[in-house]
Amino acid sequence: MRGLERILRNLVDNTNSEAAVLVNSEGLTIASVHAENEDRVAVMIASLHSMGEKFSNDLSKGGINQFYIKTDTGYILLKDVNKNTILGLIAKEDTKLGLLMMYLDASVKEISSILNDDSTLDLNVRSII
Amino acid sequence: MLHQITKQILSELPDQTKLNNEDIQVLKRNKEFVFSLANVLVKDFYDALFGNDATKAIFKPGEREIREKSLGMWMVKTIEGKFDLDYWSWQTFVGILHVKRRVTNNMMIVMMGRVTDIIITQAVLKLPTEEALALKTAWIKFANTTLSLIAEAYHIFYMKAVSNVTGMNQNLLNNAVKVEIDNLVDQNKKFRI
Repeated sequence: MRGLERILRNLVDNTNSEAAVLVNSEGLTIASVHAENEDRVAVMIASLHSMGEKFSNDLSKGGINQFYIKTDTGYILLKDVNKNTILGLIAKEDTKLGLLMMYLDASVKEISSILNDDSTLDLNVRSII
Repeated sequence: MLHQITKQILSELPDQTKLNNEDIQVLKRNKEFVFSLANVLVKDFYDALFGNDATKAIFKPGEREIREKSLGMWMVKTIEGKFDLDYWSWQTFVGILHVKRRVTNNMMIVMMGRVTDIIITQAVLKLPTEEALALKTAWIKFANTTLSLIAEAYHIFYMKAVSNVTGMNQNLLNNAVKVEIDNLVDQNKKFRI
């Protein structure tokens, strides 16, 4: 879990973002950095992702691997880590999107390798509930 | 699927609240008596529903006659006393129809209460005391089981519809609801005992 938090912290620092949250498909937080109302944010990330995927599937566009929302004050980005894990990033308006995407991709790869290596993670998430 | 959900809902009701063989015999024995109340019950039922703006709004113009026939059929089938899984699944199906027609559980519960009130009152007035009490017990068990099925089916299928349309799995929905409910509990702390 520490490794995941380190990756999220680096992502937030390098992209000057507000918060990053790693959640599972049930809306439970696996790791997070700077997220206020963490439980609520986790559920919203998983919900948005589910709705996007359902919408995409219904349009025969396949699954989704990235979700991008432009808000009045910045961006919300969701990216699939694997089938059951989603990385959410809340970024500021003045962020450099290209750079942010690059860091996001790199973070997903790092997280993915940790999740693949850590077979106990699922148990850890459940023990937090 | 309806059978499975019906079984699940019924399994969550304590045995003391469910119809036993004796209750079913009481209902069968009083079949003619309950059926003699059908016209009064049906008229009272729809007079009440059409006397309230919210419940009246559920119906389309000219629909009352059709609904009255449906309620009459429900009574006939009910007092036959064949309370098998198909019968109870039919009540579960009513819960789905109620979602479709926006017949909310508060409306449904008070109307079942109204029917129960009329049947018990008439039983007390017209049947020997012991038989009236036996019918009261049997009818209340029947009515409460029906209420449980319709209300719980309403909830289950409402959530299922939300889950299907949004793609949110059941655990995610439950977590989303939990987060929201925790928030509502915090906002309404003063009502906690």
